[in-house]
This record gives sequence, C-alpha cells and structure tokens, in this order.
Amino acid sequence: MKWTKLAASLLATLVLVIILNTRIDMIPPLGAFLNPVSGFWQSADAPHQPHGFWLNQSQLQDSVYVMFDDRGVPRIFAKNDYDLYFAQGYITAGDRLWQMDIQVRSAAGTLGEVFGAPADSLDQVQRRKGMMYGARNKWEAYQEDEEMLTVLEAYSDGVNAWIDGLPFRNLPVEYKLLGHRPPVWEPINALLMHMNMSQTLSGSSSALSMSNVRAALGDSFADRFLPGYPKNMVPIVPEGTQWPFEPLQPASPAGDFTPSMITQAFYPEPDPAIGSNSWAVHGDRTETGRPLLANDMHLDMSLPSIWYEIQLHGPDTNTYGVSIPGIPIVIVGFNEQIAWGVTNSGANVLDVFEIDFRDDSFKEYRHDGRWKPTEMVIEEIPVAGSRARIDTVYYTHHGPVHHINKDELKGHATRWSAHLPSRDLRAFYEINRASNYDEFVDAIFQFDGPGQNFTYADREGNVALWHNGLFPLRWEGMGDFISDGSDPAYDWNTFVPREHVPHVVNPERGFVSSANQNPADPDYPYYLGRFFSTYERGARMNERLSEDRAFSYRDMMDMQLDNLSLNAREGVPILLSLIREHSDYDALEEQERDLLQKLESWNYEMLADDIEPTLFRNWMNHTESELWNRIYNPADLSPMRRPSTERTIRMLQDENEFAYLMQNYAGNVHKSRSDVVMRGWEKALDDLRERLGESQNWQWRRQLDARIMHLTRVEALSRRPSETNGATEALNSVRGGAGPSWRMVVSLEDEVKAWGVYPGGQSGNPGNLHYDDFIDPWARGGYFPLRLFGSQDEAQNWLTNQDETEEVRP
Amino acid sequence: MKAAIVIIVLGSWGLMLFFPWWTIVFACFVAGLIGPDRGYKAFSAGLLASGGLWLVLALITDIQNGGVLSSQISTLMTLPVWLIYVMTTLAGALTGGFACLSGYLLLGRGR
Repeated sequence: MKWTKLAASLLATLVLVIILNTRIDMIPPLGAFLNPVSGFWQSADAPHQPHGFWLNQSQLQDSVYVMFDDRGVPRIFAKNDYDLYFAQGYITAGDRLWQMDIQVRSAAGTLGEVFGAPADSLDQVQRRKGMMYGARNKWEAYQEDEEMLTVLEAYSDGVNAWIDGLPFRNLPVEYKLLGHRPPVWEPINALLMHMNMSQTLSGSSSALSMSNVRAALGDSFADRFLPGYPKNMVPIVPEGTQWPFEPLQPASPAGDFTPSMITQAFYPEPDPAIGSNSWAVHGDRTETGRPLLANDMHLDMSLPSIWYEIQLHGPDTNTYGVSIPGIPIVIVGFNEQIAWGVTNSGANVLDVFEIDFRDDSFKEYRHDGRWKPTEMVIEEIPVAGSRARIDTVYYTHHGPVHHINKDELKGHATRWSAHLPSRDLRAFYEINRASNYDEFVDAIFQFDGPGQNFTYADREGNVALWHNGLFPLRWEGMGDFISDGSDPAYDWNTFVPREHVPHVVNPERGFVSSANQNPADPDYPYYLGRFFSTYERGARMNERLSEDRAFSYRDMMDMQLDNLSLNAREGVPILLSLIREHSDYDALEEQERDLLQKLESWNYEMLADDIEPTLFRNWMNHTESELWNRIYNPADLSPMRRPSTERTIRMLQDENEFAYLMQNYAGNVHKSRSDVVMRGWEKALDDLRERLGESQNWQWRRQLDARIMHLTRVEALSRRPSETNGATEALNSVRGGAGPSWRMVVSLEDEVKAWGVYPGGQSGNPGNLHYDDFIDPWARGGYFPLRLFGSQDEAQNWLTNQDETEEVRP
Repeated sequence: MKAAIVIIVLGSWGLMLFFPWWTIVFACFVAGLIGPDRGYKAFSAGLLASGGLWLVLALITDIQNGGVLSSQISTLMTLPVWLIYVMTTLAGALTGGFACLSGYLLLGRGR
C-alpha cells in the first residue's frame, strides 16, 4: 500500500513537471514561462528613471560614461572609437536584442531555426536572393579598412558583452515565449542588416511585369501609359540644370530581346509607399536666417521600431540621430555643424536575366557565344522540429539563379548592386564627423547603396542634395525588361562616375527637396532606370516650399504633417464633372447626391475622421479598375504593371487620349469616360457598404488602418493609433503598416536645434513603459526636442536638474 | 511543518536562481522527507510554501514593473491578469505539493 501511494505521488509529480515543461504549439512551457524567478515575470523592467553610469566592461580601453535621458535615449561619451562603438553595441542590445537577432535571421535565412516550418520557405527566398553572398562580399571589402573593421568588431564585442552578462531569467520575453536563445553575435551581422535595408529599398523589380505588358500590349502602350517620366513630374534637380561634363557612352545591343520564360514574380514590384520626404531651406528664406533641414522616412512601422535614437560623443565626433539596431554609427541625424537626411533613390540597381543552360546538370550557361561554368552552392536551412531543408543555388557571373525551368533549361538570375563589395558604413562614419560641405561630399562618395538622395544643410548656410549611389552605366531602356543573360551588352561593366550623379547645391529657388521622384529631367545624360515614382509628394513639397515667406521650424513640422492629396485635388473635379454628364445622374438617390455634394465642398485633406477621403479613394480605385480592366485581361494571372492614378486621371481629363486608348487597345468598345466614372461610382458604393456598412461609418481611419505591428504580428504586442491622418500620396504618407518612421526637423543655428519623433519607443521590451511611449505623440503630430549635449558635463548637469522633455507641436 | 516550509521556500528559490524551475521538486521532496508527520500536512506544506513563494515573488516583480508586462501577457494570452496569477500559483503549488508528499511517503514517518 505504501509503495503504491508513493508510486502514485511520484508519478503525479513527474507528469506535472513534464506537462508544465512542454511547449504545446504556440503555448510556451507554463512552468518555465510562469515561474517568478526565471519566467516571463523577470523580463519586466523597473520603470525607467533618467540615470547615468560608468560602463564597466573588461574590453574597454578607457572610461565610458552613459546617460539615459527621460525618454530613454542613451548618450554615450567615450574617448576612442573602439569604446564608442562597443558601448553603442552594448547599449543597443540592452534595449533591442531580440529584434536584432530576428532581423539578422530574416536576412541570413535562418528564421526556420526559431519558428520552424513554414518560415523555412522565407529562408529559401533569402538564400536565393544571395543575401548572405552580398554580406560576405562586403565583409571582404571591409578587411582592407582597418578603421571600419575596428568599428564593426567593437560593436559586435559590445553586443556579445551584453549577451554574456544577461542571465537567462532576464532574457527578453520573446525568447521565453518562443523558446530560443540569443546566439553569439557576429561582426558580419551589421552587413546582413545592411542587406535588409538594401532589400527594402532596392530589392524590387518590375522587369517581369513590364515584359508581360510589352508581350501583351506592345512597346507603344508601355511608353505611352507606363512612362518612366510622368507628365506632371517635378524632378529633384531643378529642370533646365546644365550638366558640365562629358558623359560615358554605353554600348547598346543589336536588337530587342524577347524573353521566353514567364514566371511568377520573385521580386516585389517597386512600392510607392516605401518612400520618404526630405528638404532643406536656405537661410535666406527662414525666420532665423539659418538653414532648416527636414526628413521623414516612410518605411514599415514596426514594434520594436526600425530606428533607435542615440547620441554618440567620441574624440572626433558628436552626433545625434537615429541608428539601426544591429548597425554601428548614426544613420540619419546631425552634429554640431551639419545635418543630413535621406530619401530612397528608386534608380534601378537590380536586373533580372534570362539564363540558357546547356543541359539539365545546370553546370554551364551560355554567355558571349560560349558555355561558361556555373558555381553550385548547397544551402542548408535549419528547421526547428524537423530535418534541415536543402536547396541548391547556381551562381552565374551575373549573380544567383532564383528560378529554374527544368523542361526548357532556362532560368532567371539576378544582378543586384547589393551583392557588390562595398564599405558603405565608412560613408556614415565620415558623415558623423563631417563639419562642412566638402567633407560631406567626400563621405557620401563612399556610399554605394541602396542609392539615396542625401539632403544636406550646415551652419555656414549651405544646402545641397545628391542623388547618390553606385548606378550601373545603362543604355536607354537597359534593365526595364527581362534582360538577355547571354548577351554581354546587358552586362554591368562600368558605373556612372560619382561626380556625374544628379546633384544640386544652393539653388536659386532657395531650397532643395526630394520625395523619391525622378532625380532629373530627361535632358540628364545618363539612363538610371525606369522610375516608377509618383509625382504627388514631390510636387506638393515644392508647392509649399515655394510659398513667399520666411519659414520657421514649426512650418517644417506642419509640412511633414500635410495631408493634402494631389490625386484628390486633380481627380475629384474631373470625376464630378464626368458623373454629371451621365444619363443616369438624374436617377441617383438623394443620399448619393449628398455624398457627391460632400466631395464637391471637400478640401482634399486626408483626415482620419472624415468620410470624403474614403469616398474619393474608393471611387478612384474602382474607376481605375473599370478603365484598365478593359485593356488588361483580368483572367490573365501573369503579373503586369498597371498605369498610375495620375495617368488614369489624365485619361479622364483628356477626351482624345481616352478615345485613342479605346480604339487601339479596348477592341473598339465604345464606352464613354462618364460611363467609366459612373460604373466606378456604383461599384465603390457597393464595395463600401459591404465592407464598412452605412456611410456614417466610412471614416478614413477605418480604411487607412494605421498600425504599428510587433515583428511577430501578434496583435497583443502591436498598437493601432486611431487619430492618424494621412495617405500614401500625401506628405504625411501613412498607409496601413507603413508611414513616416522618423520625423526630424533641424535648425542649423549657432547652437544646432532639432526635433524628432518616431512611432515606437526606445525599449523593445513589451514590459517597459518606453516600449510604445512615442506612438501617441507621433499620432497627434507631436515632436520632442533633440538635445545634443556638447560634453559629458552638460549631460551630467542635465541629469542633476532633469528638465522634463516637453512635446512640441507645429 | 514549519521546517518543511522553510526548506521549500529557501531551497526552491535558491534552486530556481541557478537551475531550471523544475528542480524545485528536489527541495520539496527533501522537505517531505524530514518535515511533516501526516500525508495531508506534507501535501499542504508543499502546496502552500511553493505556491505562496511563486505568488509573492510574482507580485513583487510585477509591482516593481508597474504591472506593464503582466498586462501585455494577459492581452497576449487573452486571459485576465488575475488568472495569470492563479496559473502561476497553481503551477508552483501543485508541483511543490506532490513533490513534498512523495518525500513524506518514501519514509512514512509518523506512521
């Protein structure tokens, strides 16, 4: 009896322990997760108080002081480069370790190791894109640069010092939920993070969708309706600028190449929502007489945020701005002399080549009339809870082959500037230390990609903008479609000399600006690719900057928050006038007429609480479908590029243009413009009623759906700010999960003043008050003053007095 | 029973600081060997001491954090915060209770 009881009791204990120690799908092992000594409870941070401390780590060469201000922004004071970037790595890991780990995995293709299937499919894509291949090529390039190698290794040492000092019980809660551990941090991880940015900003291609359009509708359709330089375009460099150099001339191929292989898209289409605004106003046109610089980068808004605010004070640098967790140095910000910002270039730096294989061993491919060997790489993708996935990737001289058709012995290979060896971080290292325009230009010449418009302003009063990056020398149209992988005329042999890239310094109009639009007018002598940028933000920006007045920093904020839609301002009047021409107009119900009346008196502002933006956007979308579905066969599933909203609006405005389209491409169906608009209206209302119910519920915020998602997409850890205004085409470019990921305004006075905000918080820990504390201020259009402490003493003085940082609004 | 409670509280706390959470069964088992003179006393000593320890430590940590993380976890698990506390307490209590009872039953003192 005694032994039975004992056995039963022991068994009960054992079963309990096993149950409480087992992961059941997404439910973590409850004993491990709930126990108060090493479970999730211990991942909570005590409420943050501003504090300063001497960093005590054995690797440091000298003393390092760190002060966290009331918003959780670290200020690091170090006496040499190694210590400075070691501390940056250490402190950043303290706030963002899990995020850094996951984002590096996402680049390297090792998500499957944590999440299991089906994340390994994402990993396979990354392997075929050559993300690690690009990072390794860059790592090789850094070997020749001792100074930068020190920076990379110092940062990595700092991250590892944080990991080593982190007891299991204090691991970020995500590790406990998912049941993995932080691996040793490698210096190359910074370059994988760089590959992530390259992927976001330049890893798209419309070659496939454009090839399909050309095959289905012909060149003249593509040129007329999908132009690389839209009619309303206002380029970055003022029109009519002279280019005082002798351009290099590329050799073009003998004839057009017709690709034979149509596949599903591997690369996403260039996305107009991934864009940014930046401008700088000359001192002649500001209230203080000194330049103002503004920058807001539109990226995926995530928790934790892609940005981490920091001040880095070293022997030859004192810089404040945002950094990318995982990458040393400040990426966008200002120092005591200059300020800089970036917007994405949109120039084409990714070409897709059709490859002819010799046989089904895929060991050779045709190029320049000869068979050349491929290189075979076996990719082993670890998958949690099952066997590793094995993938074979063939490399040509262009780059990795991402798709193979075994029957036809053809493939698609990628040539991407991100694969090339480069030392881009040196550019930011030197920008952080630049004190004048010449030093700034020397610095950005070291930056290859992803190509950026670098906006510049300094205390001496200069403003400038460089469309800067490594751009392959292209003949007109090269890379617009799938390229011929066997013809050397499609090879990337040389690049646009850096002095020849579009740029502008202190222009007469008193400002420089960029919103991802075409960098220069068609007279610029180089072909940089077919730009699919839209004109709206650039045009609106210049419209406001051309106002005849002296600007203040609050005006810059007000511009960043500008919600006016040029699509609406152009589109609503023509939509309204065409619908009134329609014979069914008089038969419309009273409620529908009221809605049209609302649009008539609307000011084209895309505001969260209004219904007009929702009404306009849906009417426009359905009108576009009505128009182009006649041309494009909706049953054809191969990806095809469609004309922009701007192009649609111009079709509606121009009767002849519309007739031309119908006659030549719509099988002579005689539809009128007002038919298209009326049908679009009916479908828009049906659609809205189905999705949102009656018209009092059509507030723009419900369609805009502004959201800041946790990286795992888990709703509980994400935030949905409801008062967010804006639209893709407005300067306040919010669209769902993408939008202004960092808003910054800098006034280059004797003592540089700056303001900034991002939708997130400094801490990546959901159990920290700084996890999401910037989101509400960001959503209501607030900014925080960004104090650049001149010295450690100043920082310590601030700590003694602790003036609270107060939100500023325009 | 007092001795058992002291052994469980100090022993399992110490073990959890350095080893996986389930090593608390050793502390509770040992407490059962030498402490209680009745089965129900052994079980309740484990239940109360271990459950109480988990509850109190969780409360202290949570209060220091201002309850931010526990509310995130409660949203995440779609459970109210109090239920997270109940689950935490139960996990510690039941494991402690059965481990302590097992220890008592092995020697069976008091019979």
